[in-house]
Amino acid sequence: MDKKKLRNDLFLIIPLLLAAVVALIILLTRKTNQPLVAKVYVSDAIVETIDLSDKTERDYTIKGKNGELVIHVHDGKIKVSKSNCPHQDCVNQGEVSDINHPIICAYNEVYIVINGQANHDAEI
Amino acid sequence: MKKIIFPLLCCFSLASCAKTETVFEGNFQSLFDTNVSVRIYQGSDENIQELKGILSTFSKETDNYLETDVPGVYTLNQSNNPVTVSSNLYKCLQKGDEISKSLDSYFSICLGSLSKLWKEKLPNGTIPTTDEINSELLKFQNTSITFAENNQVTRNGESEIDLGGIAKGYAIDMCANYFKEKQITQYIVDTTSSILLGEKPSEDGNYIIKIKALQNSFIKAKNICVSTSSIEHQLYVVDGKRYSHIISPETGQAAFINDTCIVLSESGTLGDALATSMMLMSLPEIISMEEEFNVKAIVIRDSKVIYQNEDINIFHG
Ligand SMILES: [Zn+2]
Repeated sequence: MDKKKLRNDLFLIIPLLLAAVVALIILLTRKTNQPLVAKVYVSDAIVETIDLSDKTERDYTIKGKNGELVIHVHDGKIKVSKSNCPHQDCVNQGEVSDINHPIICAYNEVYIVINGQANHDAEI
Repeated sequence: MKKIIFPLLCCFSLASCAKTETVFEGNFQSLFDTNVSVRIYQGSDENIQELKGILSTFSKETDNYLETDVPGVYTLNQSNNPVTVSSNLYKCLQKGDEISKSLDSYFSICLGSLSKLWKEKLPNGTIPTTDEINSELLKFQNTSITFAENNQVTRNGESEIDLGGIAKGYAIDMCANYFKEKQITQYIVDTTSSILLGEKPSEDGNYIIKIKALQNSFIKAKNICVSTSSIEHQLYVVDGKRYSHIISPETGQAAFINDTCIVLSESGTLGDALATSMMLMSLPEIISMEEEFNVKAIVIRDSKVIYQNEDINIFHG
């Protein structure tokens, strides 16, 4: 194989690879500034869609499989503030505000996930 | 040559990719008794901080319940002495006074005392007596504001000034001026009841605004102020009659005709005053206001749109 050709190819490939890696880093670490929504599932069915761009403090009572949970929303963050489950893992998980951390209450089959973006920019 | 071109190309593509990501956001708690959020797609964090400074000062100046470290509405309400205020507050009071005069029987910035009277009674499930209302109305009718040089303002009479109806609208107008000065065109400022829209960095530049009083309904808009007045937040029922926080300067009553009025206007200050006024207006009156002030309105009663300007498109999603 022509050594010179290989070297030329490397000049092409290495910067492209570097660019791809950098672009990937930017994509993964960029701030999601779009308003988010939290979806609350009970036994895989959506029971509530909560707009987290609405910063008002409020509570939602959700009927889980084996009892009630209270979901508290404040300043774009969401948490389970009360649950009848024995382990209280969902309550102990505390506030969540990003798409990578769902809240799960196995006892009540409740799954809260922040995903996508709200389909609007503001509310009046 | 290739050695240089390819890395350069990669850098350019990266740079353009990074540029479209610019968003600066601020969420300012407890300004004007609410949260104010600012999002800009140009400029820098410095712009957000500057706006925060402007808005928090103005929020203090317009507060009529708490004494703050800046002279403002609270100071004016303490006596009939002249007060030297900031040029922002001076202009806001002037504009408010001007609007109050043109909206005569629907809106006034001198209804502070009547408004306080209703706010004391309604949460306890009572309403003021006719005598109480009439006595406050008389004070209101004999109250005026005078403006002198060097930002000097005097309140004459016994009724208090209340900028609650236009403070947020004036605040977004201040933001609009700031953006113009800084040549920022892509922005949204949300004070919950008054929203300032620039252009969104999307295909058509429109922002999508959800209408709370309706099920799953939205409007698209850009480069405009969206003001809303609604009973959603403060509705009281006493002896089967519904009351709001909107006071009629004519009757002194906290009654209303419409449940929600949304006004699209070039000016947040005017838009806010009109949205509040329209809560007390019949449809023909609203339509004539639209023409007189060159604004567009949506009127909602019982979760139904009873009027929408023909240029406004409400869509359901
Ligand atoms: Zn649990």
